[in-house]
Amino acid sequence: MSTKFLMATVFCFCAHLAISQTYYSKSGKITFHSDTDMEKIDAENASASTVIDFTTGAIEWGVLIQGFKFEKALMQDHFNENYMESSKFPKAKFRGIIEDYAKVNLSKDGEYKVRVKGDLEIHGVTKTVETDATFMVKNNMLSAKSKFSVLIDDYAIKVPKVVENNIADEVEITITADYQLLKPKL
Amino acid sequence: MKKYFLFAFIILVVVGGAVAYYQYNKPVASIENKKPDVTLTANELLSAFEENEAAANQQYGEKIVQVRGRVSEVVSVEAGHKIFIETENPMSGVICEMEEGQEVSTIKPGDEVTIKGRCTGFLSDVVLVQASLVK
Repeated sequence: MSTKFLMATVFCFCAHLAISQTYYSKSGKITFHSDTDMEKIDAENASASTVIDFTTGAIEWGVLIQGFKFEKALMQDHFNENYMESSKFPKAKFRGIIEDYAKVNLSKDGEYKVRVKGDLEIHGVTKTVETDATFMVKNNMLSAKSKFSVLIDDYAIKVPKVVENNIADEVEITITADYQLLKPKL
Repeated sequence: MKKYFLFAFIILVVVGGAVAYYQYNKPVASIENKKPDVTLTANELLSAFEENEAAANQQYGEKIVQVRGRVSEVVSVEAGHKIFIETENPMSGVICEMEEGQEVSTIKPGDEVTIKGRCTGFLSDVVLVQASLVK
Protein backbone atom coordinates (compact mmCIF):
# COMPACT_ATOMS: atom_id res chain seq x y z
CA MET A 1 0.00 0.00 0.00
CA SER A 2 1.49 3.30 -1.01
CA THR A 3 1.89 6.04 1.54
CA LYS A 4 -0.16 8.31 -0.67
CA PHE A 5 -3.07 5.91 -0.60
CA LEU A 6 -2.81 5.49 3.14
CA MET A 7 -2.74 9.25 3.63
CA ALA A 8 -5.74 9.63 1.37
CA THR A 9 -7.61 6.98 3.36
CA VAL A 10 -6.80 8.64 6.66
CA PHE A 11 -7.83 12.00 5.23
CA CYS A 12 -11.16 10.58 4.03
CA PHE A 13 -11.78 8.98 7.41
CA CYS A 14 -11.08 12.23 9.25
CA ALA A 15 -13.22 14.18 6.80
CA HIS A 16 -16.01 11.70 7.38
CA LEU A 17 -15.77 12.15 11.14
CA ALA A 18 -15.80 15.91 10.75
CA ILE A 19 -18.95 15.94 8.65
CA SER A 20 -20.67 13.14 10.49
CA GLN A 21 -23.84 14.87 11.59
CA THR A 22 -25.96 12.71 13.77
CA TYR A 23 -28.59 14.44 15.85
CA TYR A 24 -30.71 12.84 18.52
CA SER A 25 -33.29 13.51 21.18
CA LYS A 26 -34.63 11.41 24.01
CA SER A 27 -37.36 13.91 24.82
CA GLY A 28 -39.30 13.99 21.59
CA LYS A 29 -42.94 14.84 22.10
CA ILE A 30 -45.76 13.00 20.39
CA THR A 31 -49.36 14.02 20.93
CA PHE A 32 -52.48 12.77 19.30
CA HIS A 33 -55.92 14.15 19.02
CA SER A 34 -59.17 12.40 18.29
CA ASP A 35 -62.14 14.61 17.69
CA THR A 36 -65.78 13.57 17.42
CA ASP A 37 -69.04 15.25 18.37
CA MET A 38 -69.25 12.95 21.39
CA GLU A 39 -65.76 13.38 22.73
CA LYS A 40 -62.38 15.00 22.29
CA ILE A 41 -59.44 12.87 23.31
CA ASP A 42 -55.87 14.11 23.73
CA ALA A 43 -52.84 12.15 24.81
CA GLU A 44 -49.20 13.04 25.13
CA ASN A 45 -45.87 11.30 25.38
CA ALA A 46 -42.74 13.39 26.00
CA SER A 47 -40.16 10.60 26.05
CA ALA A 48 -40.00 9.59 22.43
CA SER A 49 -36.53 8.93 21.09
CA THR A 50 -35.36 10.04 17.67
CA VAL A 51 -32.16 10.02 15.61
CA ILE A 52 -31.32 11.78 12.32
CA ASP A 53 -28.21 11.24 10.24
CA PHE A 54 -27.79 14.34 8.09
CA THR A 55 -25.17 12.69 5.92
CA THR A 56 -27.83 10.35 4.51
CA GLY A 57 -31.15 11.88 5.55
CA ALA A 58 -32.10 8.78 7.53
CA ILE A 59 -34.53 9.48 10.35
CA GLU A 60 -35.91 7.27 13.11
CA TRP A 61 -38.48 7.69 15.85
CA GLY A 62 -39.58 5.36 18.59
CA VAL A 63 -42.17 5.74 21.33
CA LEU A 64 -43.47 3.57 24.14
CA ILE A 65 -47.24 3.16 23.96
CA GLN A 66 -47.65 2.73 27.73
CA GLY A 67 -46.11 6.16 28.26
CA PHE A 68 -48.99 8.10 26.68
CA LYS A 69 -50.71 10.27 29.24
CA PHE A 70 -54.46 10.81 29.10
CA GLU A 71 -56.67 13.11 31.07
CA LYS A 72 -58.88 10.21 32.16
CA ALA A 73 -57.64 6.93 33.63
CA LEU A 74 -60.34 4.94 31.87
CA MET A 75 -59.25 6.23 28.46
CA GLN A 76 -55.65 5.36 29.22
CA ASP A 77 -56.65 1.83 30.28
CA HIS A 78 -58.81 1.25 27.21
CA PHE A 79 -56.12 2.68 24.94
CA ASN A 80 -53.51 0.28 26.31
CA GLU A 81 -55.55 -2.84 26.93
CA ASN A 82 -58.18 -2.82 24.21
CA TYR A 83 -57.05 -0.72 21.28
CA MET A 84 -53.25 -0.70 21.17
CA GLU A 85 -52.68 -3.98 23.10
CA SER A 86 -49.54 -2.36 24.46
CA SER A 87 -48.28 -5.41 26.35
CA LYS A 88 -48.16 -7.24 23.00
CA PHE A 89 -46.99 -4.25 20.94
CA PRO A 90 -45.08 -1.98 23.38
CA LYS A 91 -43.67 0.43 20.77
CA ALA A 92 -44.59 2.47 17.76
CA LYS A 93 -41.75 3.10 15.34
CA PHE A 94 -40.98 5.19 12.32
CA ARG A 95 -38.01 4.58 10.07
CA GLY A 96 -37.58 6.69 6.98
CA ILE A 97 -35.75 9.20 4.86
CA ILE A 98 -35.86 12.98 4.71
CA GLU A 99 -36.03 13.15 0.93
CA ASP A 100 -34.67 16.69 0.58
CA TYR A 101 -32.44 16.71 3.66
CA ALA A 102 -29.77 18.64 1.77
CA LYS A 103 -32.06 21.69 1.96
CA VAL A 104 -31.49 21.94 5.70
CA ASN A 105 -28.54 24.22 6.35
CA LEU A 106 -27.50 23.32 9.88
CA SER A 107 -25.27 26.35 10.24
CA LYS A 108 -27.77 28.95 9.07
CA ASP A 109 -30.77 30.11 11.08
CA GLY A 110 -34.04 29.49 9.35
CA GLU A 111 -37.03 27.26 8.75
CA TYR A 112 -36.71 24.43 6.31
CA LYS A 113 -39.70 22.56 4.96
CA VAL A 114 -38.92 18.99 3.96
CA ARG A 115 -40.68 15.84 2.81
CA VAL A 116 -40.32 12.70 4.91
CA LYS A 117 -41.19 9.22 3.73
CA GLY A 118 -40.89 5.91 5.47
CA ASP A 119 -42.41 3.00 7.36
CA LEU A 120 -44.66 3.64 10.30
CA GLU A 121 -45.30 0.72 12.63
CA ILE A 122 -48.21 0.94 15.04
CA HIS A 123 -49.97 -1.98 16.76
CA GLY A 124 -47.70 -4.43 14.95
CA VAL A 125 -48.80 -3.20 11.50
CA THR A 126 -46.36 -1.41 9.20
CA LYS A 127 -47.51 1.09 6.55
CA THR A 128 -45.62 3.42 4.26
CA VAL A 129 -46.39 7.03 5.09
CA GLU A 130 -45.36 10.39 3.71
CA THR A 131 -45.59 13.76 5.39
CA ASP A 132 -44.31 17.31 5.44
CA ALA A 133 -42.02 18.32 8.27
CA THR A 134 -40.32 21.53 9.28
CA PHE A 135 -36.83 21.88 10.68
CA MET A 136 -35.92 25.00 12.59
CA VAL A 137 -32.31 26.06 13.04
CA LYS A 138 -31.67 28.77 15.57
CA ASN A 139 -28.36 29.65 17.24
CA ASN A 140 -26.95 26.26 16.24
CA MET A 141 -29.92 24.47 17.83
CA LEU A 142 -31.99 22.14 15.71
CA SER A 143 -35.65 21.41 16.29
CA ALA A 144 -38.32 19.76 14.20
CA LYS A 145 -42.06 19.49 13.98
CA SER A 146 -44.57 17.63 11.90
CA LYS A 147 -48.26 16.92 11.81
CA PHE A 148 -50.04 14.12 10.01
CA SER A 149 -53.06 11.87 10.30
CA VAL A 150 -53.48 8.13 10.45
CA LEU A 151 -56.57 6.04 9.90
CA ILE A 152 -56.91 3.71 12.86
CA ASP A 153 -58.37 1.08 10.55
CA ASP A 154 -55.05 0.97 8.63
CA TYR A 155 -53.34 -0.33 11.77
CA ALA A 156 -55.94 -2.97 12.62
CA ILE A 157 -57.06 -1.05 15.70
CA LYS A 158 -60.53 -2.25 16.56
CA VAL A 159 -62.99 -0.02 18.33
CA PRO A 160 -66.10 -1.63 19.84
CA LYS A 161 -69.51 -0.49 18.58
CA VAL A 162 -70.48 1.13 21.91
CA VAL A 163 -67.73 3.73 21.71
CA GLU A 164 -67.66 3.97 17.93
CA ASN A 165 -68.95 7.54 18.07
CA ASN A 166 -66.43 8.59 20.72
CA ILE A 167 -63.29 7.78 18.76
CA ALA A 168 -62.41 9.35 15.43
CA ASP A 169 -61.57 7.18 12.41
CA GLU A 170 -58.73 9.53 11.66
CA VAL A 171 -56.37 10.52 14.45
CA GLU A 172 -54.20 13.60 14.18
CA ILE A 173 -50.61 13.15 15.33
CA THR A 174 -48.25 16.01 16.16
CA ILE A 175 -44.56 15.46 16.79
CA THR A 176 -41.91 17.90 17.98
CA ALA A 177 -38.32 17.49 19.09
CA ASP A 178 -35.33 19.58 20.13
CA TYR A 179 -32.33 17.75 18.77
CA GLN A 180 -28.81 17.55 20.15
CA LEU A 181 -25.67 16.82 18.17
CA LEU A 182 -24.32 13.40 19.01
CA LYS A 183 -20.72 13.84 20.02
CA PRO A 184 -18.75 10.72 19.36
CA LYS A 185 -16.78 9.58 22.39
CA LEU A 186 -13.30 8.91 21.06
CA MET B 1 -96.29 2.68 48.29
CA LYS B 2 -95.98 3.37 44.55
CA LYS B 3 -94.65 6.81 45.32
CA TYR B 4 -92.05 5.30 47.61
CA PHE B 5 -90.76 3.01 44.85
CA LEU B 6 -90.60 5.86 42.40
CA PHE B 7 -88.60 7.89 44.90
CA ALA B 8 -86.17 5.01 45.49
CA PHE B 9 -85.84 4.52 41.76
CA ILE B 10 -84.96 8.17 41.19
CA ILE B 11 -82.37 8.09 43.98
CA LEU B 12 -80.84 4.96 42.45
CA VAL B 13 -80.62 6.55 39.00
CA VAL B 14 -79.08 9.76 40.34
CA VAL B 15 -76.52 7.96 42.54
CA GLY B 16 -75.74 5.42 39.81
CA GLY B 17 -75.27 8.20 37.29
CA ALA B 18 -73.02 10.13 39.63
CA VAL B 19 -70.86 7.07 40.31
CA ALA B 20 -70.60 6.29 36.60
CA TYR B 21 -69.74 9.90 35.81
CA TYR B 22 -67.11 9.92 38.55
CA GLN B 23 -65.57 6.63 37.37
CA TYR B 24 -65.57 7.84 33.78
CA ASN B 25 -63.80 11.10 34.58
CA LYS B 26 -61.40 9.77 37.17
CA PRO B 27 -57.86 10.97 36.45
CA VAL B 28 -54.91 8.58 36.35
CA ALA B 29 -54.16 7.59 39.94
CA SER B 30 -50.83 8.57 41.48
CA ILE B 31 -48.52 5.71 42.40
CA GLU B 32 -46.45 7.73 44.84
CA ASN B 33 -47.86 5.89 47.84
CA LYS B 34 -47.88 2.45 46.27
CA LYS B 35 -45.34 -0.21 47.16
CA PRO B 36 -42.89 -1.10 44.40
CA ASP B 37 -43.34 -4.49 42.70
CA VAL B 38 -39.60 -4.80 42.29
CA THR B 39 -36.48 -3.00 43.56
CA LEU B 40 -33.14 -3.04 41.73
CA THR B 41 -30.27 -0.89 40.45
CA ALA B 42 -30.51 1.12 37.22
CA ASN B 43 -27.75 -1.08 35.84
CA GLU B 44 -29.62 -4.28 36.54
CA LEU B 45 -32.79 -2.90 34.98
CA LEU B 46 -31.05 -1.77 31.78
CA SER B 47 -29.11 -5.04 31.48
CA ALA B 48 -32.33 -7.02 31.70
CA PHE B 49 -33.75 -5.10 28.72
CA GLU B 50 -30.50 -5.28 26.74
CA GLU B 51 -30.21 -9.01 27.20
CA ASN B 52 -33.79 -9.96 26.40
CA GLU B 53 -36.21 -7.17 25.73
CA ALA B 54 -39.29 -9.35 25.34
CA ALA B 55 -38.64 -11.16 28.63
CA ALA B 56 -37.87 -7.89 30.44
CA ASN B 57 -41.10 -6.38 29.11
CA GLN B 58 -42.96 -9.33 30.58
CA GLN B 59 -41.15 -8.97 33.87
CA TYR B 60 -41.10 -5.20 34.35
CA GLY B 61 -43.59 -3.70 31.86
CA GLU B 62 -46.45 -1.86 33.59
CA LYS B 63 -44.93 -2.76 36.98
CA ILE B 64 -43.99 -0.28 39.65
CA VAL B 65 -40.22 -0.43 39.58
CA GLN B 66 -37.89 1.18 42.10
CA VAL B 67 -34.37 1.88 40.84
CA ARG B 68 -31.22 3.12 42.49
CA GLY B 69 -28.45 4.87 40.61
CA ARG B 70 -26.44 7.98 39.88
CA VAL B 71 -28.04 11.01 38.21
CA SER B 72 -26.46 11.97 34.89
CA GLU B 73 -28.79 14.78 33.95
CA VAL B 74 -31.88 16.65 35.12
CA VAL B 75 -33.99 18.05 32.30
CA SER B 76 -37.00 20.31 32.59
CA VAL B 77 -39.26 20.36 29.60
CA GLU B 78 -42.71 21.80 29.05
CA ALA B 79 -44.23 18.47 30.03
CA GLY B 80 -42.36 18.33 33.36
CA HIS B 81 -39.09 17.24 34.91
CA LYS B 82 -37.02 14.27 33.87
CA ILE B 83 -34.19 12.64 35.74
CA PHE B 84 -31.71 10.58 33.74
CA ILE B 85 -29.95 7.83 35.66
CA GLU B 86 -26.67 6.58 34.26
CA THR B 87 -25.52 3.01 33.89
CA GLU B 88 -22.35 1.24 32.78
CA ASN B 89 -23.51 1.74 29.19
CA PRO B 90 -22.44 5.29 28.22
CA MET B 91 -25.19 5.56 25.59
CA SER B 92 -28.19 4.56 27.64
CA GLY B 93 -29.68 4.51 31.08
CA VAL B 94 -32.98 4.94 32.83
CA ILE B 95 -35.17 7.95 32.07
CA CYS B 96 -37.56 8.92 34.86
CA GLU B 97 -40.48 11.12 33.86
CA MET B 98 -41.29 12.73 37.19
CA GLU B 99 -44.85 13.02 38.45
CA GLU B 100 -46.23 16.54 38.48
CA GLY B 101 -45.41 18.30 41.75
CA GLN B 102 -42.23 16.32 42.45
CA GLU B 103 -39.55 18.59 43.88
CA VAL B 104 -36.37 18.03 41.88
CA SER B 105 -34.61 21.39 42.24
CA THR B 106 -32.11 19.98 44.73
CA ILE B 107 -31.20 17.02 42.52
CA LYS B 108 -28.03 17.43 40.49
CA PRO B 109 -25.82 15.25 38.30
CA GLY B 110 -23.69 12.89 40.39
CA ASP B 111 -26.29 12.44 43.14
CA GLU B 112 -27.24 8.92 44.18
CA VAL B 113 -31.01 8.63 44.03
CA THR B 114 -33.76 6.08 44.46
CA ILE B 115 -36.72 6.61 42.19
CA LYS B 116 -39.96 4.71 41.86
CA GLY B 117 -42.07 4.73 38.70
CA ARG B 118 -44.20 2.73 36.31
CA CYS B 119 -41.99 1.02 33.75
CA THR B 120 -43.22 1.53 30.18
CA GLY B 121 -40.43 -0.35 28.41
CA PHE B 122 -37.22 0.25 26.49
CA LEU B 123 -36.31 2.51 23.57
CA SER B 124 -32.71 3.68 23.70
CA ASP B 125 -33.20 3.82 27.47
CA VAL B 126 -35.57 2.20 29.95
CA VAL B 127 -38.41 4.61 30.71
CA LEU B 128 -40.23 5.07 34.02
CA VAL B 129 -43.28 7.35 34.12
CA GLN B 130 -45.24 8.89 37.02
CA ALA B 131 -41.95 8.71 38.85
CA SER B 132 -41.29 9.96 42.37
CA LEU B 133 -38.21 10.27 44.56
CA VAL B 134 -37.99 7.74 47.38
CA LYS B 135 -36.43 9.12 50.53
